[in-house]
Amino acid sequence: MSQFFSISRFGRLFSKHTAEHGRGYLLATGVVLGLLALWLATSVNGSAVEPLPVGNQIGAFVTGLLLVGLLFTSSVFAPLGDKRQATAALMLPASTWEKFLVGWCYVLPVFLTVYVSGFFLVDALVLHFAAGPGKIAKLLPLFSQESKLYYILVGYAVLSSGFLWGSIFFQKQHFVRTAFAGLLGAVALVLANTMLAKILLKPSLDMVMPFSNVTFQEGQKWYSVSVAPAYNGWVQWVMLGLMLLAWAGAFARLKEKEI
Amino acid sequence: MVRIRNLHFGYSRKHPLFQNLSLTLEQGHIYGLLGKNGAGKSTLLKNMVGLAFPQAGTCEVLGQPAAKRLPAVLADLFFLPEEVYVPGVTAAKFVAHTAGFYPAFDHEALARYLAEFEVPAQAVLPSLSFGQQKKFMIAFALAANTRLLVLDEPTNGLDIPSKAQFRKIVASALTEERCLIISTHQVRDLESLIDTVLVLHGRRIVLNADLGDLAERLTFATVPEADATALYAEESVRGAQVIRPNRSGVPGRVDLELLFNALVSEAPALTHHLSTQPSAHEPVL
Repeated sequence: MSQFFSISRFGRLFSKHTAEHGRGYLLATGVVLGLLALWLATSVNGSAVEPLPVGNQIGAFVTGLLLVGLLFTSSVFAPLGDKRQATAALMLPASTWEKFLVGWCYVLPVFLTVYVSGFFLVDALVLHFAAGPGKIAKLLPLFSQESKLYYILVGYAVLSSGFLWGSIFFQKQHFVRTAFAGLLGAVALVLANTMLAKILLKPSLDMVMPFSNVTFQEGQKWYSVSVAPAYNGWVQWVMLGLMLLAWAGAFARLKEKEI
Repeated sequence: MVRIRNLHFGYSRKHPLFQNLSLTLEQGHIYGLLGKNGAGKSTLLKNMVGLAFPQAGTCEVLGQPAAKRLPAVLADLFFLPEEVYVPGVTAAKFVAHTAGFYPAFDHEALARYLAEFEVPAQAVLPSLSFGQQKKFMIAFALAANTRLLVLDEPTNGLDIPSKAQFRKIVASALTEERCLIISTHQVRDLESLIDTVLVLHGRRIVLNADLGDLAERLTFATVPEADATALYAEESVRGAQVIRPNRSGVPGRVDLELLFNALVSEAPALTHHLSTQPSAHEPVL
């Protein structure tokens, strides 16, 4: 049997994780769906032609996704910060890859499936009760090619990878510490980006945000310098790279974990 | 079973816990690991099972580097820490979802051990007292039937009857293929259980000896006053407790507590006696 991955071992591990945490996950799912229902219901304007505009639905969807998803992601490897739980987890006869994969499956595919389907269920119910004759009831077009809202899920996956790393890198207060580390990283990136832009273009530049164009005044004219549209795709590749790096970092941390 | 060579380890580089520590543990034995508080007993066990990584040297368990934590090795090794963790499920559910990881798991033996320990199989684990949780995990660890079983302070938290039950159950679980390592600072808990004693002191193993060999080479007695033949003596309310060379060749009872006190106080006569008459079994001082 492979010492790296075995489907039977993985299945057993997944089943054990579900048996030990399933009840808590179900309770949490109920609470989240209830809060989403409350949010959407209070956003309904019964006198409007469109009682629950898509914009409001997007707001609820994104807020819930980020708050709940990242909190949940921060918790998945958090027990490893406790010596007793870490010992039990690390000594279980399964490979590091299988242990990592169970956590990853729960925070990404399983969470997204449950959250998205749960949101649509709640959203559809609220719309059903809010809509009446002559009213517009439009469900969140998450998978529409036109609006491309599914990029929210891609962005979430990138953010989630960072919080997955944080859930094993930090010993406690995983969510807060990861968020703070992310904030520090973002500030450092903006400062470095601004310094580089000043060196390359003009010392009197104001703040230059990463992955955006640079605007400055030369005499009486304003200039805006940006990467040619043909090269815009590189930002996505950077994000993808960062996501893979964060997953690899979390896996390495799990493999090297000592008590 | 366990092979450690020139192990260097410390939580800080300035204060190493082990320096050049070497140790070999074989199957068919129950080893008792003794040491003072802070000597590094738990840390040594963690190095053995792959929960801490050597800074230098090697630590192999079942023929593989312990730090790799290979599933095949973990399936044949059970480590029970001093403070156990139990998930929020019933004992039966825990067994149903965990026993499958151990190919030789013996469900009948588990039922026997739980009955002996009087732990209800249907109880929700976190609702049990700490002692009951520990007894459940000891029973599970023994029933896992792994070739290597490492128990860190297993009798801590057990009441007096449970300690006797523990000794009985552990003694019955030893087979020729198994190796049990039990660390403790409560020497009396292990006296009738272990067959080999390991003493960890001063960053190394200062004694790794068969209790039978020790009984043939040393005698332990309480006398009104220690004389020149004593390798080590310490005062007690009943007189002087002494360790002497065993001239008669008739093995007696080894007073582990006295022997331990002698070793950690680095009694030169005892050290010399043991090092000049090496045990046929293994290392020594």
